[in-house]
Amino acid sequence: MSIEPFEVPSISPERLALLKEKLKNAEYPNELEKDVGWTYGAPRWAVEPLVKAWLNDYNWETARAEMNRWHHYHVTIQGLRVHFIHEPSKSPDAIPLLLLNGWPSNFYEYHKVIEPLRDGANGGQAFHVVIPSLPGYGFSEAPKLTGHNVSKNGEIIHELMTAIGYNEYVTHGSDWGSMIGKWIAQERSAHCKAYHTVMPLCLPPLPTPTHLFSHPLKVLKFLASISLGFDTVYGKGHVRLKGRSFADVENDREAGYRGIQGTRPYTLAFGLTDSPVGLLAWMLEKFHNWTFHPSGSRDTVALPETISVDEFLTQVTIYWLTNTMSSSTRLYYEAFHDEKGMKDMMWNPVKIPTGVAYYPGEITKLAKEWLEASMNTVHYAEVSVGGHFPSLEVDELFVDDIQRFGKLIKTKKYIQ
Amino acid sequence: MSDIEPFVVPSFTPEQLALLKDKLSKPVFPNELEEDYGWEYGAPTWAVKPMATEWLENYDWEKPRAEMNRWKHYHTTIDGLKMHFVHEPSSNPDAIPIMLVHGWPSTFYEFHKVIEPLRDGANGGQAFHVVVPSLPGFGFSDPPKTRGYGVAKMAEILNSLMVKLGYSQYLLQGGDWGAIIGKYIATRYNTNCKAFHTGLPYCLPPLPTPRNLLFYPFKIAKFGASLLLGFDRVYGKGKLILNGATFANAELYNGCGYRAIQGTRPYTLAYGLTDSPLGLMAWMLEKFHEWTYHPPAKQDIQALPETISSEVFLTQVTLYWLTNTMSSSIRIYYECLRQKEMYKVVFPRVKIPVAVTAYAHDISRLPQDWLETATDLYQYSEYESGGHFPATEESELFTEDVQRFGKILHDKKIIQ
Repeated sequence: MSIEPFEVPSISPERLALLKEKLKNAEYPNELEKDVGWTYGAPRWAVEPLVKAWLNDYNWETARAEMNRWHHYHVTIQGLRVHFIHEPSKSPDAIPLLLLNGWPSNFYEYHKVIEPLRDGANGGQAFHVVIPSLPGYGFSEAPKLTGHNVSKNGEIIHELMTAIGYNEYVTHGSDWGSMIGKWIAQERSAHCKAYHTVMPLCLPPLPTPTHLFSHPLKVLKFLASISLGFDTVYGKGHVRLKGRSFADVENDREAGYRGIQGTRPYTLAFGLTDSPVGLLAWMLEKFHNWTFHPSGSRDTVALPETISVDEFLTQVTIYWLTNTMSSSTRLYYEAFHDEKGMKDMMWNPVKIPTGVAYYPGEITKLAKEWLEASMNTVHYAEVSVGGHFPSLEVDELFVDDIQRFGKLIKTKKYIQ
Repeated sequence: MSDIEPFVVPSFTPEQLALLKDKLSKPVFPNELEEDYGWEYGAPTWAVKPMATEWLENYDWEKPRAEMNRWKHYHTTIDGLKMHFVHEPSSNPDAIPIMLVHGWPSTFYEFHKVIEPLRDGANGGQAFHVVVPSLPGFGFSDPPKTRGYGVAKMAEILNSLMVKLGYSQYLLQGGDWGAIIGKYIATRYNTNCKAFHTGLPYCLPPLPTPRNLLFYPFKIAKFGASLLLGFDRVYGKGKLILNGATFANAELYNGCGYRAIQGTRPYTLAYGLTDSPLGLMAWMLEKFHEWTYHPPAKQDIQALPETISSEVFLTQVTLYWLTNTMSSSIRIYYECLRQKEMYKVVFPRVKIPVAVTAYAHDISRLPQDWLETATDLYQYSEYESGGHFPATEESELFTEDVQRFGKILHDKKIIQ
């Protein structure tokens, strides 16, 4: 397995010219005459200024110079060229840390935290930082065959860590990274020694024999909450769980994108690939809906104050440049069609030490008891600001939380 | 009546044509899997690309435009909206009024092969005064300016249109949204709408209501049996196609992903479908492939069925492109879902004469039993071919069926 160094490329003059031409010739949808905020989706008043910024102000070279401060590589695993960043620490106490992002994000989500984590900022724990691009995302090759689901990603990412030379490591994940990280925590526990997530996904304490034996009170409380309501039993806001399933839009109005991406990603991809405006709008809706906005401003802004236009446009440009919106959405299809695999991941416990940090803007929140019943929860934090992309929105708090988890893992010798 | 203004289907302006051709000549195609999985993931590039080339190089709008302008088009304002419609009165003294209502992703053009045969009483059959509207937000009708334009509002507008034209009694023929709105009109505007002809009835099964217990006890029993033994066993294979009986739960019916996203975030989806003609065309092609009748051996290996030429399909697409109405057309899904209108459509019984056609391949099909309890069923026909767009796919069968029903309505003086 040869590891080849890689440099984030410039955009060729032809491709840049094509992008700018498409942005200049943008055709906008018709909308209702009155402003309906974000209730129908991303409004033109939010999308158009960003399109103009992308056309007139955005400079890929600035982000590229930043990205090329880190060491990038490619390695072929199971026939796919996988891109990753590897920033080993100088600190002798550093532990290997795998950071896994989700959709519609990419490795750049971690751009502000790579160096602080690597260097043990503020005297905290230091890490050897590894950030892969999932197959089909960023600079990784897209899967070639059907069936490239969560467990396949988990296998490949674990093999990546081995290829780099880390026999033991800690995994952090958000969004899809949370699911893939959970699989790694469950299936590669000889090597993944601890699991940290901001979006834990597990089942409540259902009345199974195991649960009834270990946590009878948790089970009772959960059963009570079914009739009395989550807020009554667990306290207001401690459980945020709309819709009981992956793509049931009748229960969860946010799940429309999963409904289409989980069933017809090919058809969706044409508009999101041929039109940079289509791509930008599709991503903007999530960067708006899933992030933390100080109260009152959500309906009148596009991005939250914590995410700059350049940061957002860099993430969009990576998708554009690599033509990966299509392949990235196919992960939803594969997961949706892997009923057994997903069910197992949700059902099965996580036995390795687990850390959870909840940011208030995160789209799903489960009761702490549920996490404790199903995962070996040794670290739990509720942060007061930030949302689905905490390393972008509140990078210092994110670093601090990861460092504290890392220090705990190191001190208790869960990892050598 | 004075505000009914004649309208001529326009040409492309030179700027509009140049823009469309420019966009089509610089397509960026999504990446796909390396193996061909047919239509499982949605519309594949092998189907979309040739159609895009066809649109760029061979398609000539002027030809269908000349065809469309053989009929008389008008605009009139109803409820503050400029409504487009075709009006072809018959010279036959026995003609009765008919309104042909299209759905999504279709337009008035769906009926292009049947307007004249119906008007002229082809083959010695019943003749009609033919009215073909564009639904608000589709084709040459204005899009609604405010929220709330779901089934109820559209029904009111369509019925008002017929009354305004002097047709105080008429037959309504509708498919897709035309069937949904049509049923609403048939149950709530039956002072004017005297009969309803459709391929997509939305009805309840024979439930034990007092009326059903009195008149159809056996049908109730049969339905009960089917719940236990299975629909296919009791009604016959393929006689009941419910597809999850769901509007937007993609877990129950994986063909409704488009409803899941259109019903929740039409604004966000619209950018890719408006800015990219490729995105628009692919989105429509999937439906013109999936919902139409193909000989079984050809289903996975062709795009359009033989019964729909690429010229006819591209005319539909061009109508959406020229009028920028994909964005407004999909909002009907949002309005219907938000107001939970499907219940108001499905529950009521139709008391006026109904004719149902069951073509070989449509997105749902109900057993004749159900139709007999839920409607005043005068005519039921099953066909070995045809699908969701029968006026286009099987224009002769369609015409003959409508004429047969029309003759009964005329002879029994149900429509004066």
